[in-house]
Amino acid sequence: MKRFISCLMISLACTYLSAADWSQFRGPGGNPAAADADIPAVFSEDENVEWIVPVAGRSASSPIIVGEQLILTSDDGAKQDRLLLQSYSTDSGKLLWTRNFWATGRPYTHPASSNAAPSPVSDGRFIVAFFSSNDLVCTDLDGNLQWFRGLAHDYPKTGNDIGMAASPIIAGNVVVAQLENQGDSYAVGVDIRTGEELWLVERDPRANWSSPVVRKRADGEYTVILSSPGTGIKALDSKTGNELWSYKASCGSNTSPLIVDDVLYISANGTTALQLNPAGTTPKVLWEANRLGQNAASPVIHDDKIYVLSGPIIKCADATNGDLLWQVRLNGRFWATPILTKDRLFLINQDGQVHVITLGEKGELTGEFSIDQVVMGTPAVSGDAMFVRTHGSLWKVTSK
Amino acid sequence: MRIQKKSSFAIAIAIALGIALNGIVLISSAQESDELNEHITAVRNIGPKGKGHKAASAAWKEIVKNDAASITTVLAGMDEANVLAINWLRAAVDTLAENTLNAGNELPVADIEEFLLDTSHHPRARRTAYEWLLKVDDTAYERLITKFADDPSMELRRDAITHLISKAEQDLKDGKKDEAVEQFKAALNSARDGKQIEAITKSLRDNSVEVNLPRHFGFLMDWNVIGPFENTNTSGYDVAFPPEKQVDLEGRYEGKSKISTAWIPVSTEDDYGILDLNTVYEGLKEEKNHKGAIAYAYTTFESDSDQDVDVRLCCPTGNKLWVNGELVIAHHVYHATTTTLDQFVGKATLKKGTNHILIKVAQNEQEDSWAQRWQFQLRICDQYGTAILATDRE
Repeated sequence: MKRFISCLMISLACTYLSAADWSQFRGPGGNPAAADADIPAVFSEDENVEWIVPVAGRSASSPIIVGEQLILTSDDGAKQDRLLLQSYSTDSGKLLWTRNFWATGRPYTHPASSNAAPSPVSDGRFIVAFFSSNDLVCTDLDGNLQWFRGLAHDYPKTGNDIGMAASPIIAGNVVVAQLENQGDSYAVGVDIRTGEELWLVERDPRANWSSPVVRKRADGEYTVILSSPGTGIKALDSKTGNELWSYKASCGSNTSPLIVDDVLYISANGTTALQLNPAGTTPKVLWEANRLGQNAASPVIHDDKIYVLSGPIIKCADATNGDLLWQVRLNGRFWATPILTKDRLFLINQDGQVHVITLGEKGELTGEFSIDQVVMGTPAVSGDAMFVRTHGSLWKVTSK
Repeated sequence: MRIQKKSSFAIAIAIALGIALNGIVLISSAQESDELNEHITAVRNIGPKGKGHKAASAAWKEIVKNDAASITTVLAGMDEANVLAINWLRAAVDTLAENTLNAGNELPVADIEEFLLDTSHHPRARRTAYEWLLKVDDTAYERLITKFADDPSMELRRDAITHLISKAEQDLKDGKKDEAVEQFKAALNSARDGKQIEAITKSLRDNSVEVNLPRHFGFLMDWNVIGPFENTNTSGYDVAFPPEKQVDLEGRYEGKSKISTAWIPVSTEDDYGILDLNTVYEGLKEEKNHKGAIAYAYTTFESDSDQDVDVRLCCPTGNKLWVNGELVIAHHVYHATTTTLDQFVGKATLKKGTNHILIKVAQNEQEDSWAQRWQFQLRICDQYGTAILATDRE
């Protein structure tokens, strides 16, 4: 816990973000563990919800929180080719601003997904939104456009008509997006200040929905880590795209890696933990756990425990050695990554059924209720509030 | 006398000052207009991979410093803009409009409506105008929606068709079947959105009105097909098998697994023009020669004139499409779609008379149940999706 807080504070000290921000997919550091957040164990339209507001369009992305703004992406229109980037007040739910774009790439997705599947990201100065049509947008915190890039417009074979979902990441002044598909498949580094392309690295031409993660090196620069089924793990320098090291593995294509305390957890052979080293060379394997298979939701780590959703089963293992500690069977199909709050895990399946696991020596399913809404995106947490995006609405869950 | 002289002089001075001030205002407005247009031009000059972004970004910031009166100028800036710049300018319009309303001021609704009704402007610029009108004028929808049924903007047209469909459905509910049928027919005539066409067709057919969907969409239904050729490990996608070199409908070739293959005529009766190669090559399944395979489909199209057309293909597997020997569409992608219409849009030029269309349809070896479709659908239409029919089509 102390190590987590110190790591978080170090990372925040170098950014424009605050401790209450949830500035990227899965929150600070890409690990959705908000251990101090006191979120009510039960909520509904009439209970423990400060506000519910209607939102336009559809989305599979997660909201992010920057200051008092909640940032949301959606798609709209008959062809899902209308791209929305919106800001809502976290206090009141009031819509603050909307930016509207037309997709320049292929907007088609599976009916269960959305053109707004990748989650936005912010460094506290800028907001970057990415869409399955491979449109990349940057605004300031007031919604003033900095730049707009149509990556599929630039590389016309980029696209996956089932949908693309990898969320972009910010590493210093570089936005990194991972666009892996059967056509033009690549990772790209873009200058966040101008939208100009800094580098492009070709990637294995097969579908991959995993999002990149970033690690700050001792020299102050950043390493971006990409995961894929075909080529395993590649670590690239964020400024140049040059490969720093690689680890061969057949990684899952749905979930995303996670770095906590210099350990990289990847979806390979179930789950594999790799010890990153200060020299920035190929990490060594700490452990592999076949029983910790990841499907669609990414894992969470807290207090030396790793929580993995294997299908509808939530599994808790020792994060230091991969030993399974307990597991609980849930119901339904899950896309959203679990959220860890004070003493609890919240797991919301795609039908809006909320499962609450109370954490302890053994996890116990202490709550199961429905909010009767489709939920695809991972919720965001700020303070003692959890923000849930459904198809058609945005909820602020809090008892405070 | 003295007083009259003083008055005349004062009036003369006042008039001169007025002229001077108005001149300054006019010059100032012209300067502002020139500057705004320069900034819009800087945005329009953006290119791929971030080209021109620095200048465009600086220009964008200047554009949004203007007031609401500049909104239609910025909208007009979309007229000659590329798809990237259109988005930049859209964001500028939205910012200008939001800033205006947040300051408690009004949008220039008359100017915006005039802009909207001028179909010479870019469809997306007009759509932007319409969306802002709807936000600030409660009467706009009812006043305007019926004007868009045949609009060049597909978004505006779609909204108008939705309105027509609603009216027709209400007529049905009210027992006015004849009126409803006429409304549905009018809607079908103007509709270009696949889902709307599907819904209208169902309503008409439920009321005993025949609809020839393939003709409405312009699907090509009659083909000659040949196959299978080798595509194990997708190796055949870039191999030019004999049909690619020459279409000889009398030709016979050795294909995959040394199967002798020749062209056979095949027609589809599917409402959506889907030609199912798994059905055509049912006999290949026993030895699994329908997997890791390539088939070709060929047809001719009689055009009444030289014309530029859209060729719109829907195909869940690897494909190539040639029109008169020119490659128009090529996508080496397998089983990554749930799209059922206009998945790939290519541009081609037909010549008056006979045109030759050849499609290569690849299949891989995936065993998943959702990876078994081997089929295609093709139509010829204009840029709005209006079917262009061959002169010899029945």
